[in-house]
Amino acid sequence: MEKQKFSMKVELVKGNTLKDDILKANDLSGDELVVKKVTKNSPIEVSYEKIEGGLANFLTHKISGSNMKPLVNSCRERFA
Amino acid sequence: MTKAYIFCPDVIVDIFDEDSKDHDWSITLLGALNKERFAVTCEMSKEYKGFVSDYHKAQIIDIALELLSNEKIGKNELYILHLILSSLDEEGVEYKNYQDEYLPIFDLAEQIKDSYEIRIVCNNGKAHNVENKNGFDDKIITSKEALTDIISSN
Repeated sequence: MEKQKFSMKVELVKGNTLKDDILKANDLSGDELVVKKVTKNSPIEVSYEKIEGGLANFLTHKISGSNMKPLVNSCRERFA
Repeated sequence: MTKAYIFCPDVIVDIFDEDSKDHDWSITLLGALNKERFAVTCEMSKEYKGFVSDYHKAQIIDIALELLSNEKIGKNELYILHLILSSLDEEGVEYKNYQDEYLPIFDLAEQIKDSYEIRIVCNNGKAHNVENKNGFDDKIITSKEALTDIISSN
């Protein structure tokens, strides 16, 4: 796990959790966020745990449970 | 330093082809580029982006939709393809009559040259043979080399 701190502005939406809003604002679904500090008028400071190869791991898991072979074969034929 | 990594269709296929020798490199490259894309929002100094040409993206989607209509693949496979393609920015013009599969790549590189200082074409096949063709002088490397390039520059 690689931890990284950053600041950003997040629009808070009533009814959402803060984590929902942060994930939505940055399209980070699938990654792990921990809110460290929230101040009223300043950007939110969070620590962001980048899971090594987040998208790659997710895709690997999805691909292993699927049948991509027909698509592979057709694409290989098309782009030979 | 802004860098654009342009994915040739063979690299995209390698991402979802578990049996490809370049599968691990290609899928990890896609993941690494998406982490770097996130870094841009953090106002870090470097910017990396992955690109696919409109032309190749449309071609791959057409193939997938035909397979879906023939029930050779399901929605899950289409979803995986969507995840991969939507992780890349698309540029270029969807020309219907490209006679050379490399031209959409070269056109894309030309289109983004003012926005990206360095353009790198990722190809795991024979593209090295066409380097410098049509005056194309950007680097053409494999997904393994591209991943190594990203890791070594961080």
